[in-house]
Amino acid sequence: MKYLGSIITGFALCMAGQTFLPWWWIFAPLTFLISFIVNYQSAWRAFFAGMLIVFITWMVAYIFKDLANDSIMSGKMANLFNFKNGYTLFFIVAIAMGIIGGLTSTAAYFTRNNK
Amino acid sequence: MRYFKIFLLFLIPVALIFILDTGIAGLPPLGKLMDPVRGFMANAETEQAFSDVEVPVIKPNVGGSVYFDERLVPHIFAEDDQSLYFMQGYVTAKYRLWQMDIQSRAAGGRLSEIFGDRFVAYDLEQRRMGMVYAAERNVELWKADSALFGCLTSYADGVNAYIDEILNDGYEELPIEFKLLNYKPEPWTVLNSALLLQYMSSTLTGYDDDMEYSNLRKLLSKEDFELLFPDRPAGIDPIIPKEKTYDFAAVSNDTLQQAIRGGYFRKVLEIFETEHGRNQVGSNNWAIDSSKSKSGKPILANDPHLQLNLPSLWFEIQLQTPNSNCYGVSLPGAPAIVIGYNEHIAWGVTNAGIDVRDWYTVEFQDDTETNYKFGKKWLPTEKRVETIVVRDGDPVIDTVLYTQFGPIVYNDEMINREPDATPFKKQRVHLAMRWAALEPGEPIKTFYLLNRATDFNDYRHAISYFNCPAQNFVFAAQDGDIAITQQGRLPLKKQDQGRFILDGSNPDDYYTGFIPYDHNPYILNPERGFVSSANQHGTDETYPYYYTGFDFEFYRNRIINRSLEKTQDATIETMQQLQQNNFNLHANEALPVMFGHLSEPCKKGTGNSACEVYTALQEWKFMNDPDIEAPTYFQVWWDTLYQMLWDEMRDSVIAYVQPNIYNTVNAMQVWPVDYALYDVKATTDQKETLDDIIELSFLAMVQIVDSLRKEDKSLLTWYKHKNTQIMHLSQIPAFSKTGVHTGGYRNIVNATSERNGPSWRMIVELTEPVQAVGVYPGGQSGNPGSKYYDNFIDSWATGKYYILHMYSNEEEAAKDAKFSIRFN
Repeated sequence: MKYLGSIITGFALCMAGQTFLPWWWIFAPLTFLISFIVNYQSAWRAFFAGMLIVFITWMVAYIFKDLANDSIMSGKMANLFNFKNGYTLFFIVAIAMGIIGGLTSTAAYFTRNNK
Repeated sequence: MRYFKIFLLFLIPVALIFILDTGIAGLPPLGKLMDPVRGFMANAETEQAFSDVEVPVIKPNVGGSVYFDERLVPHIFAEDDQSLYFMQGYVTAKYRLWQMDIQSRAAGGRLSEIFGDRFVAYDLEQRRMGMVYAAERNVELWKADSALFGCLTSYADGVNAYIDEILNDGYEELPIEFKLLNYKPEPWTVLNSALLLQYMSSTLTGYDDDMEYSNLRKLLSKEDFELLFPDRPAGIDPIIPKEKTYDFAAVSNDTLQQAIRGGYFRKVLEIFETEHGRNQVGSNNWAIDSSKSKSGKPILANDPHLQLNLPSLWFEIQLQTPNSNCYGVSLPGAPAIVIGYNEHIAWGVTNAGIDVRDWYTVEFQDDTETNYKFGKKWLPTEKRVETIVVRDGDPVIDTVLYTQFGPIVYNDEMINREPDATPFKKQRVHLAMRWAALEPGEPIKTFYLLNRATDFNDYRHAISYFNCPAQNFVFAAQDGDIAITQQGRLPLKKQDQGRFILDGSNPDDYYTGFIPYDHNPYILNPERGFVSSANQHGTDETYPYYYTGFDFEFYRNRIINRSLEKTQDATIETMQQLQQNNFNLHANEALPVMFGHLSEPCKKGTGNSACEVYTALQEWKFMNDPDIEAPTYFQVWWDTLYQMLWDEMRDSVIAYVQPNIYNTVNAMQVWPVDYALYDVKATTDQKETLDDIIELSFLAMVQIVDSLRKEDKSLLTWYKHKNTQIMHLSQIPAFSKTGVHTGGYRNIVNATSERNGPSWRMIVELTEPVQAVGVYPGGQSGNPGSKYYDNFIDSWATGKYYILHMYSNEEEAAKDAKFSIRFN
């Protein structure tokens, strides 16, 4: 429950950060912070929490905008980067960013459990 | 070890973020770009973009309203010109900022700053052609006219107000192309507007055949040369009809026997011929008078054929002040409307296609290149240093020498950039370019005045300011007048002057006068009840001045004139049909000649594909409609034949030009079948005749058709074969439209070819109130993430038009508006 709660809180924080702060990488310090406070039971749990938070945040932000735009922009960008469609592009980018978020989250775990 | 693990876990994400934030190896900063909030998805336009807004204006006395209709056409209502052009600048930038930026960079030779060293050759070329030099001189001239300059600075202020607004918001609001190419817009200046107009001038007059003709005169006999490249071939139908008499005393232009200069000229930089391609840009315009229209009022039509790009060349707009009300298309980057109408008159343009670019050989006194010979004198050169800034590279510095003729574009150094070719001795050739586009002029003043013109006299006064590119200005007024003028500041040349390379040291070769403005050909209310132009010769042989064209057209104009001769009770719809006309007059005239030399393939038995293709061509009604195959057969056959025929005039080193299709068909009818030029150079053991090459090209065509049919039968339909492409200005395929379903071709009234075509179709009926329709292949928004980016293309391709709303007042516009912007 605590795990799920941390992810939901993390998502809300990250979404707010992405929306209101001008840095695209704001999720990285945020996942670090969440992981440091929550103090996950293992490095893997920390990694997956960070990854999930970022992945969900980016996917939700993408899809929200994409629906209102009838996928006009995402279709063209996917074409430009040789992806099948906008959703493939979203997925791959969100996974990549998720990995970064996962890594900073893991870094927080080891910082806290540095014994 | 633990510390190392922690260190790594920090280092990897931080390094990744750094790389994704700055961009490596020519890639844009992907992190920024992919940001779902501020990256490319910020350019995914939603309905939110169309809510009413108020824009605070810092500039005093500027205010007014802009109402956007359902097609996103802005209708601007202002109290005065200053506010009007400020708002035009603002809304144009709002939808077309990147286009404005990149086009003015392209004009000024500054693409290397964005794209790196692969554009250095292009930039050098633009600088050497004096594009920036000329734009700067234009700005100086405009400054002297405070009213005009006020319009230009207000426009720039409007553009800058928008740029400041988006830069304040940071990365998020930048057009997607800035994000992809990773740079930011710079402040807009009047010089940028001048550069854009310079670019237009270059597109429409930046051609000549002087080097090619000089070489051809050595390759061909005089008779052959004059048959294949005549100044005025038989059978043409000039813009100004026979009834016109030129009853003025012409300024003296004595006959000069042009000497053929020694030496071949090496092929100039490739970009010269390939950038635009001749026989590509062109246009139609016409007007019929009250005797030919159903309403009893004149109707005017115009469709300029230019390169089809996204964002479109044109931006549709209405501009209203208490003293003027005008609707039409504008050039993003320049104030006022270029082609359009107001409550009293309508006007349109086509390119005159007159050769206004000539080359002079320059002989220097010594290697310092400070003085050059002119008669018995030595004249000084002026040096202009051009610095080309290169992204991720060292700047390139080029010193361009200016002579009384113009800049030395090609000299030893420039020619040496080309790969060395063995048969030609390197010779020091310095070629100075004399080009009317480099003379200062006030085209914006013409458009400013036309936007406000009310009758024929206003029209004539307005266009008198138009120097270059020479244009055929068609005109129609509510009071019933129709007219056409071939307007430009055209050099007073002797016979043949400027057809070949000129000798810069010979004062006889240096022309200084200009044809007086009043002597430019025009006609008002001709007896035949219509005026028209389609890039053909302006006048018949009775016109007392010498001129030559770089690319006169021979087919569209005859179709238009034949059709308008017969026209009665015409409506806007009648004119639409004529703009869409797909009749291929070239095929209609060439095919009988080709058939006359072909042994009938069906004699050898039916059922084979040669017979099938032959039969289809026999039955073809010469319409280049999109879904049939016959136009493909014809075009492939013709192209193959043409290349076989003129193989002598294709060389990897020497600059040649091949005869145009009209003169080609003519030559095929004049020469005996065994004429020497029919021989195919590659087959040394045989001497081909016209019969042979027609047979060979027919069989080659059948083979191509067969292999295409095997691949995919639909590839043979005309629209697929032609493949009309509307390309994004950066050539990004994802932002472009290819395989557009359209008929027509070059030399057909519906002049939609592979990359060029009717860039704006407009028809205006001068009733009260004026009624008009129009369409262009693009959309008002330059944003690929907007549904208004390319939403007109389907209508355009299927020959549909939109009704143009020129509102008489703000309330009307507000009633229909999708949203508005208020400036105060």
